[in-house]
Amino acid sequence: MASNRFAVVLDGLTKRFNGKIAVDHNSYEIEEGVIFGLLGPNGAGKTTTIRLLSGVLEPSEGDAEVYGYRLSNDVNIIRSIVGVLPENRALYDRLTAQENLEFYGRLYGVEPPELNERIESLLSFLDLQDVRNTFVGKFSMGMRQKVALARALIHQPKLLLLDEPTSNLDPVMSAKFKEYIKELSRDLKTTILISSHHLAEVENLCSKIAVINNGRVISVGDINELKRRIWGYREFEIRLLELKPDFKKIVESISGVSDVRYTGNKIFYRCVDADKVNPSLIKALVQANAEIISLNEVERTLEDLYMKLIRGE
Amino acid sequence: MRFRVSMIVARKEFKEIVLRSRLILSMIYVLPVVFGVVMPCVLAWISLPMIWAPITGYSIPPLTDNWWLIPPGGQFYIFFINLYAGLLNLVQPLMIPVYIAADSFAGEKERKTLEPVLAAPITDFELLFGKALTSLIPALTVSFLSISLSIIAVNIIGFQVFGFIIYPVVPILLLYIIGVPLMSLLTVFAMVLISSKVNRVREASQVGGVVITPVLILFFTQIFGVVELSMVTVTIYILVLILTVACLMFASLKVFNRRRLIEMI
Ligand SMILES: Nc1ncnc2c1ncn2[C@@H]1O[C@H](COP(=O)(O)OP(=O)(O)O)[C@@H](O)[C@H]1O
Ligand SMILES: [Mg+2]
Repeated sequence: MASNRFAVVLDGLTKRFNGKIAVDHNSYEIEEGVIFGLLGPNGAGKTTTIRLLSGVLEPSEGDAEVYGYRLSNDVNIIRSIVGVLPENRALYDRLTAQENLEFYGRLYGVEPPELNERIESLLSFLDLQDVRNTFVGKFSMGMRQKVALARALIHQPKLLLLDEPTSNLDPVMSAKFKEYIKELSRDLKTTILISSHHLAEVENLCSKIAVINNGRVISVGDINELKRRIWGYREFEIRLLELKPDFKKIVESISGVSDVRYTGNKIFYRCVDADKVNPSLIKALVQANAEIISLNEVERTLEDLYMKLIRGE
Repeated sequence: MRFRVSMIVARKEFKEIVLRSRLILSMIYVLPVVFGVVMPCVLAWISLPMIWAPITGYSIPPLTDNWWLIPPGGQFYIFFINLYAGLLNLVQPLMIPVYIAADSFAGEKERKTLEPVLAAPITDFELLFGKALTSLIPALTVSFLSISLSIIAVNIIGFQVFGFIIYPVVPILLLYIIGVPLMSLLTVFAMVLISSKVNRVREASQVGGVVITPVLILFFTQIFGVVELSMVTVTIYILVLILTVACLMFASLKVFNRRRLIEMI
């Protein structure tokens, strides 16, 4: 039953195009109900991975399991429980938004009146009611993206695959789009995989990520855990009302503290085991009558992480 | 194979391709009128002087056994009208699917809209069958409508002179009933093959013009008297057609599978 906790299990999943490898023996798991980020630069193999998991491409080697169904055995069942927002959106320009949704709904076996209710709620969820009868060919990029998202959701998939969902969107639209995705995850408990090459875009959206490059998995896991693992230490910042010379001595004397820097009334330091170091450091400072305003962890962006992982910087 | 799923595809494509293409819509409206009514009528009318000695009193539809009773001019007139009206009506089941199928197969490739379809639970055959129906239903509807109109129109002129139904003669009737669906099928499969090689709708429909060849062969062999418009000729022709359709279908099924289709996305 252990595998039931995973929505997706990649098991040496591999895809070659004419001998050239695009996805190279990938193995990782995606837990049910999470928003999972698939990160990598252009050509890393994100789109290929999504096409494999949506049953569009056949693996050259290896397999994957989606909600207990194997690509190798039950690809049609997998297709019926996966929704995908493909990289090129692929809508029918000469059909209206409503007609696009009706076609795909029916293709997945959703029939009226159920179909009409779902279209209604998706259109209102995505603010598309006013343009439902407009040809999709006349839509802006953001609107197309929304229609394509609605299409991916029409059959209420258990797993939603979003290929670069916020590319081509302006920042306001992009933020809105991310809100929709968060709401989906919260309300429907849909497992969501988002691919992106733009890391800041997914940092506050995804709890777990896989970083891939040249088809290979470089790293998988919880974002914060990953950061810790890669840098091996955490960095903190203490702001004081006044920075007295005594305090410097106290900070430097605490065992486990390293790389101490001072700027203005701030102390920066690094440590590995923050659970031990921070309490004793704060206690020592308070005993020396230091007036502490705040203690924060210095956040590293995913960009930093990414650079470190891919380029080894 | 779920027929329901193919019909979903066909309905979508009918809306997307047939109803929203000016070219195809105008073909559907204009062809039965021009090829079914106007041209056969003009031909039937202006050719009337061919008949030296009009005869009356025979009512043997369609013309077969009493052929010898008709004066040579009348025989030629009937042969001529059947051949031309036949040609005009056999062009439609071949040509209409060219434009619809080009848009349906090559168009999907040109516009890159296939990926979400391939991600849906639909088999290759259900998709192919749905797309084939998109071409076949309008093509056959228009063809048979045009044929019916031409039968009414030509006989309104011919019956006054001959006193019996002069068109279609049995071989032409056979071509209409069995040949027309086969010809539309032939076009659809030919277009599947053509679309697998080219990337644009225009290109596909231009190359698709070759499907007219079988009917031209039939027409010119008759005109130059190489073979007679007899039951034997038509039977052989239909058998060849069946064989060709079977070969093209086999080749189409090979080309139209997911492994090949993903190259389109
Ligand atoms: N259909 C295909 N045929 C040949 N090569 C392909 C095909 N699709 C992708 N590739 C190659 O596979 C690699 C991964 O591509 P892709 O999955 O699109 O990367 P990403 O989405 O991360 O940018 C690239 O080198 C790309 O050129
Ligand atoms: Mg991509």
